[in-house]
Amino acid sequence: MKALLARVGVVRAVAFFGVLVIVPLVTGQIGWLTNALIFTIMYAALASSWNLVGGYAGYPSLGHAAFFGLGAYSMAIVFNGSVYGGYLPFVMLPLVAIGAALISLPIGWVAMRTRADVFAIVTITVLFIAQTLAFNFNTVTGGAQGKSVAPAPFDVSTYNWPFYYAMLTLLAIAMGISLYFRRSKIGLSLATVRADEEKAHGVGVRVTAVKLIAFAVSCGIVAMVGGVWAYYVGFVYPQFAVDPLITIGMVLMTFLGGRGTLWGPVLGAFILVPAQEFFAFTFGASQLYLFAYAAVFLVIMLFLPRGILPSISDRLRKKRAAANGILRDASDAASAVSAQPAAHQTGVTR
Amino acid sequence: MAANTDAEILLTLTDVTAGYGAGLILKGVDLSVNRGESVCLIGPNGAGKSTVLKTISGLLRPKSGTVVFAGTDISAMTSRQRLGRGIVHVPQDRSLFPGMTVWENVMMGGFILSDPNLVRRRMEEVADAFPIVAKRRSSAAGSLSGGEQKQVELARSLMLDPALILLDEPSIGLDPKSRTSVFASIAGLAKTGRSVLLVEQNARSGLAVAHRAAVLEAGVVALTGSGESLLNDPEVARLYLGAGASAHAPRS
Repeated sequence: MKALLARVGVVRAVAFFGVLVIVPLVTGQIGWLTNALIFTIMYAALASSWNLVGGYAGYPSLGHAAFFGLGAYSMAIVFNGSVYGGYLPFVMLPLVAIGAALISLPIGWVAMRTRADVFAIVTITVLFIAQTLAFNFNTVTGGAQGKSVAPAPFDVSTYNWPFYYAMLTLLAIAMGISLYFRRSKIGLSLATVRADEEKAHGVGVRVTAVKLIAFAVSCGIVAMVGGVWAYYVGFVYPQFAVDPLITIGMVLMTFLGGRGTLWGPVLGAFILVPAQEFFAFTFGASQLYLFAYAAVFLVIMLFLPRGILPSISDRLRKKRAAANGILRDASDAASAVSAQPAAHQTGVTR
Repeated sequence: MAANTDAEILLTLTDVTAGYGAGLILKGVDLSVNRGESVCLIGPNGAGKSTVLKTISGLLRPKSGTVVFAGTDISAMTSRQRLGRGIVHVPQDRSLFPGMTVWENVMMGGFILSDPNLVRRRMEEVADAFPIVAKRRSSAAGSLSGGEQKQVELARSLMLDPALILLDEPSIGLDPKSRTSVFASIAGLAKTGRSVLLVEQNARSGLAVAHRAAVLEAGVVALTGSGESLLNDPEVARLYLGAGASAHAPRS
């Protein structure tokens, strides 16, 4: 059974990534499609990374956009003058991840001494500190004027492709790490941390270490995504690079698809990002699209309150349990009927 | 049960003080447990019984004094290091992870083991000793009754093949039938040659399964003796076993 499930998982992953790999090759010059997919995949990668902390560890960080901005500014600062052939910024991404992860460690060490709502408040404070720094640290960030990344010297007809595949690679990395977490002692440790840290200590889980690993890895991937985003859009402004809406996007998509699941954040992103694009296109600049966007979220959460994937699997489990229950009730009834005469013989009335 | 007089000492607490924040709960506890011995710690609420167990398992560090286990001072060790040395703590509150299955919960008992074959072997041994583990292996631990959960907790405590098991009020909140079966399991643990340090409000049942007992009052050990002798001590009986309650009952 386990082997079958693993095989289904592999087939699902190969089909998903296979389709995404060939989309640009098939659709060719349709720039808007690859553009829309870049942002969808970007949010899928962000939500999958956020899920490592917010889902598996149960720490709802609202400060992740700070690390998105950190990655974006790293790219703009280093490649402000030239991108040296165009591919060097992609090659440098692991360094961005390591740098962001190292910076996140002391922040996580302090913030993760708190839990739940307090943790959320502490991390959103980190976000606003980062935004304030971006606005005011003029010599490095360019302040409110922003900072540009040198344009990429890619062929116009396939300009989007390197960014598209870079984002897709980051999504694969985020999901690969998610999968590794789920199947390793790290995932088991995080599950116990999410359930109860005292109990986790009691069975020998290295609680602080495992929380920090999840936080640092998550922030590292988010910073890489921020780096690719900055390179793609070409200009980094504080209000867009360190934007609370980016954090909210990650959180909403993860909750919508299913917190603590492998595919939930991806599903959430593939529903919400296109929905947002579609509504923005339909309702124009009236901001009315935000109502429609919120409506999608509310309707899904109303009918599938634990997120799409967990709610569906809950219902399936209940159905199976109910079916088993009917069988069990039937057998209980049969034994009760057969026991009845014996009870009468002893004069006991139940 | 007879006291184990000539046995080798496994655990010694010497003049241990400990507490939360600035306040001291333990004010100089001296206590020892021999190898293969069951010791029951009784005392009024707030005397520091659970704190003694936490200080031994490392969930709380002593402020002064020493905790020596198998000849090594473990006072400064983390709870994980102490687990590795064979000290397992089954806390008073339900310590299972309710969302995980019974099987996963028992497996978590061997979390610090790195050899998967050893974990598998221990799982089989534990399932043999505690049939509930095999019977309800796929059930969410949170769906079990209080008595069943306690049995699974006891089963989990064996995953590390511990030398010392610390049991904090295992019968709390259980119905009489579950209580009887939990104490039967505790007596079974003691027979396997492991040491058991048991904290129990249900003093009569606790003392009955113990070789030796200690009475903790206001953070110090006030009285020690065999389980049997404390059961027969009129002062202990009056204070902790409910004897004489009728003499003080108001007349109707």
